[in-house]
Amino acid sequence: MKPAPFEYATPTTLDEAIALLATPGARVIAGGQSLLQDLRWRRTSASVLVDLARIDELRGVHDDGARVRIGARVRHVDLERGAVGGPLGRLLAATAGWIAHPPVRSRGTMVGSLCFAHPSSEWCGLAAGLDAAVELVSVRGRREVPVAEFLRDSFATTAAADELATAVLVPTLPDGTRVGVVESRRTHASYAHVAAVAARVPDGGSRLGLAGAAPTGTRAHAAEAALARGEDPGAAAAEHDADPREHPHASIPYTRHVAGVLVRRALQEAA
Amino acid sequence: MRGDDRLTRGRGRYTADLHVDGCLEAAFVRSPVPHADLLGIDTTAARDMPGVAAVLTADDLTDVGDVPTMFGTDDSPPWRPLAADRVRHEGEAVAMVVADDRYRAEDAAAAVRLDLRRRPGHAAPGRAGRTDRLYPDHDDLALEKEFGPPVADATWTNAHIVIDSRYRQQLLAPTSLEARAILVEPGALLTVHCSHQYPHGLRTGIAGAFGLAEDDVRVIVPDAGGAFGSKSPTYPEYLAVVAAARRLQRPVRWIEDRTEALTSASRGRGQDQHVRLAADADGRILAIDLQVDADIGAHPLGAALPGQTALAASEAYAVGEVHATFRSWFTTTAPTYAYRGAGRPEAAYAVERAVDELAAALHLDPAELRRRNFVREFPYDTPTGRRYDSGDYAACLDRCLELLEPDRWRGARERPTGVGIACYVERSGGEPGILEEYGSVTVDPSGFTARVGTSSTGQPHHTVFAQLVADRLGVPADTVDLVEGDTGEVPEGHGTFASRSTQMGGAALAGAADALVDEARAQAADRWGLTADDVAWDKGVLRAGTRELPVAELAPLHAEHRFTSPPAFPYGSYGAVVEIDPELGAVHLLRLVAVDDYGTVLDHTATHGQTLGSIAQGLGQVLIEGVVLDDEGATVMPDGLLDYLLPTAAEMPRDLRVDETAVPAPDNPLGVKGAGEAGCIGVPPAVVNAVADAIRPLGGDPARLRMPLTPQVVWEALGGERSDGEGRG
Ligand SMILES: Cc1cc2nc3c(=O)[nH]c(=O)nc-3n(C[C@H](O)[C@H](O)[C@H](O)COP(=O)(O)OP(=O)(O)OC[C@H]3O[C@@H](n4cnc5c(N)ncnc54)[C@H](O)[C@@H]3O)c2cc1C
Repeated sequence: MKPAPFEYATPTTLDEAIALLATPGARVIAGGQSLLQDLRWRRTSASVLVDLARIDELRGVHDDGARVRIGARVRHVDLERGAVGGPLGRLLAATAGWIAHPPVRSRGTMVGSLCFAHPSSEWCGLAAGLDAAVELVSVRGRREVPVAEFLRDSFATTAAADELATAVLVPTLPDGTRVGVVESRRTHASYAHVAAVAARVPDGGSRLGLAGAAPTGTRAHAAEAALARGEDPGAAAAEHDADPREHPHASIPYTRHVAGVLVRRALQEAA
Repeated sequence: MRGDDRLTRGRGRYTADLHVDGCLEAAFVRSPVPHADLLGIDTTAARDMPGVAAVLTADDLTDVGDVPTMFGTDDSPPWRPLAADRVRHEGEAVAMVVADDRYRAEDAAAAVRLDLRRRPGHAAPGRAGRTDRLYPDHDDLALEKEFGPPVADATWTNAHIVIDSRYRQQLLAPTSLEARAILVEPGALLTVHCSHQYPHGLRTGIAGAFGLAEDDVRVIVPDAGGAFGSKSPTYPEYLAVVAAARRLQRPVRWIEDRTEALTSASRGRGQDQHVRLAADADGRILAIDLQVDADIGAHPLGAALPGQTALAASEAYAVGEVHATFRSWFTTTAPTYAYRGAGRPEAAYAVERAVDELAAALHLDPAELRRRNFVREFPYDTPTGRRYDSGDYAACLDRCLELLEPDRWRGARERPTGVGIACYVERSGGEPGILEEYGSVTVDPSGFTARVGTSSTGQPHHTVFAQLVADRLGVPADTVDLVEGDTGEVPEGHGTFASRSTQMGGAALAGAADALVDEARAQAADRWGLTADDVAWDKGVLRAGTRELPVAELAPLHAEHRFTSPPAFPYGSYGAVVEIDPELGAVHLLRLVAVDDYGTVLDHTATHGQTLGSIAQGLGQVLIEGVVLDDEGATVMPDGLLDYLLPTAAEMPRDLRVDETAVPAPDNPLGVKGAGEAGCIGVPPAVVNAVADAIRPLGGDPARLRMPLTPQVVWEALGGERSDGEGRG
């Protein structure tokens, strides 16, 4: 199918971009890996597509010691190839490697994934699990929203239509943190069913993120707590953290079960 | 290979690539629901939109004939190119917008308003739950047939054991890389460019619907990006495009997109199966009874195709009593039609799953049980009416077991592991009516031109057939040009399906090459005042004593051959080793073995490609693919190919062992049998049998294994929590 008509703009500065986004019906295009499908299916439309491809301010990653700032133009493949160092970088690289296949990874962006808010998005699960935040900029100003608040529902965020997500800010993981990411997925040409991301921080407990187990990526608080009490984190994840929706190939009980299994396995991988 | 190289480098020229001045593009308005009365269509807004040349509905096409069905019923209900007063499946075309480009055509299509009154839909075959007929004057049971005499009651009662199993063949979307595509140029000669398997059939279909002589229609098949059986009919959309081109006197093109293909194009498989086997204590099969209830969709395009399943109910076994019936039911879904294997994968699955259950019940080695039942003398007439031409089924199975090494996988392993095999017998070449093919060879000063009635949809016909003719003539392959897929160039033909191209078309070309040699010798003899017997053909040069004459000097010289023969019966043995992730239910293929007998193989690269491709599609059916519908027949695949998953290179098993045995086909001058559909027949039962083998020792229930074997299916078969939330597949 073909999209309905739209204008196309390639601003070179952030100011220009947010000015364009103030136009009613304007939309950001980052990697286009999800947006183009929605436009073609006419699920969404745009008066003007604001392409981020030429805005240098949105490039690259920056580590300030406490948090790593990942710009809106950073693609899955950049993270897969080690754009970020340390244990967090290893977790990002391992996670990116699971996403779809190379052509998608060479265009899709991490920030775009958060904005698209697919329930099975690995980045949504990871960002929720690590308590990351999204930086939003519009002509009205700049704000930072924790991911747990940003991801409102499947395919829905709390960003306003005129806001540009400039970066995701992910807390760094201390040296010695061990990481793991596991998935259940049927092919590499589509999304995972469920993904679990684990970071075991030395003397600091564990961080667990889940994707595909609930309408949005989530931090597995119950599993983390169970682990701290020496109980089975898998059972806790299945019962409390998972909140799945029915899927033609995965019932609610099955998805709960898978979330539990994967939480255990992600922790094992991070052991 | 010569042909492949061009296509894999993106240098193909498909229907969408053709440049025709002034060409308009079509988009269809399709039913959003499976079943409804169509009370009205409001096209006023659409007609006034920019770039729109026409918006057509059923009222504009009253002078166009009905859509012809390929394997329909004797009294098929009329099928109109655009639905008139009722829609019977989601995606059924109700209006067509023709505009100066596809974007504007879709803009206008979105502005067409349909006034629909819902009726209940029925996705499942069978009478149960039906409250509303699809056609006022036709029963929902479209066609019913029986093959072989019924099994005697005494056979069931006296048997040592009876296996009674039910299986489901889920609906599959054929999903060729290029979906349907057609470009029609109007004129005294109506020229139709179409991605099609059967150009002469399409010519007949179009000529018939428009009251034209066949000579007034020329069908040309440009490069075609796959077909898998789905591109042989004259589809309703094609007639609508022809009608628009004739009416507007402008070229019109329609390129189907993936969304249309997944909701409205024909699908494959779609059967509920009930199999019963009776056997003695030694595992000798005494009787097979196979009942098929097929969901054929809303139009009888493939109503008779389940007959292919029924006819194959004996598979590789010499069984005294074999009885098979099928019932084809109208359902409010897109038509079910041929998809790679077309009825034979379904039969092999039903029989080979049941045979495996028999072996398990008798605690017999599944290979040994099969050996005890194999047909060993040929020709062999099955009770359902097939005549198997040749074979050595045991040798094929033995080779498969050598490569599979079943014992290597037994014993202590970290995860549950299972080994499964399946044997199949396939029918290639076609059925009476298409068991003939045309070939010709012409000499002109620049070389040889071979013409044949088959039509490549990506297969390397240009390589294989040019080589075949060249070898026959003893000349270099690059002096032979192959022409096919053009009714203006090839006078008759039956196209490419039923694995028939090399078997039928190759034999026709060989016959034509031989006839050309005879003709050349006769003409040279005339010139020299000799008899043909005195003249020898030597690599394109005619010789008699010291005289010699290059054949080009006799140009133009032309010879034709029409080849006919009974079908051939290729066969194979497949083996799979699987490992199960018992917590998640995921199936990992550790090894896959395919040993096929295609008779004499002319080009191993070509058959190997066919084997790999059909294996991938077999893996698709068994592990991955399935059209998901709700009970009324609406698709539940909102995200296209993100929901309808397909196997890709990443899903192919690393340890894949492919081999051939070669018992020449006795009825074919080249010894050739069809090679196009093997893997999708052999793989599904082999893999499910392997999974059954893996879960039995864990107390799992193989009866709960159904395709696709998603992790959840296997998890449930292993006793995981039961869920009722699945859609119909
Ligand atoms: C075949 C296939 C398989 C896939 N498999 C996976 C998978 O396994 N896992 C996975 O996570 N994803 C998968 N994806 C999705 C892919 O990762 C996308 O790249 C991602 O979802 C969106 O990123 P993008 O940069 O392409 O965003 P786009 O498609 O450009 O945009 C997506 C949405 O976010 C908005 N948006 C994007 N960037 C910004 C921004 N900076 N500020 C404000 N709004 C913005 C857009 O307006 C749009 O609404 C798959 C995609 C395909 C085609």
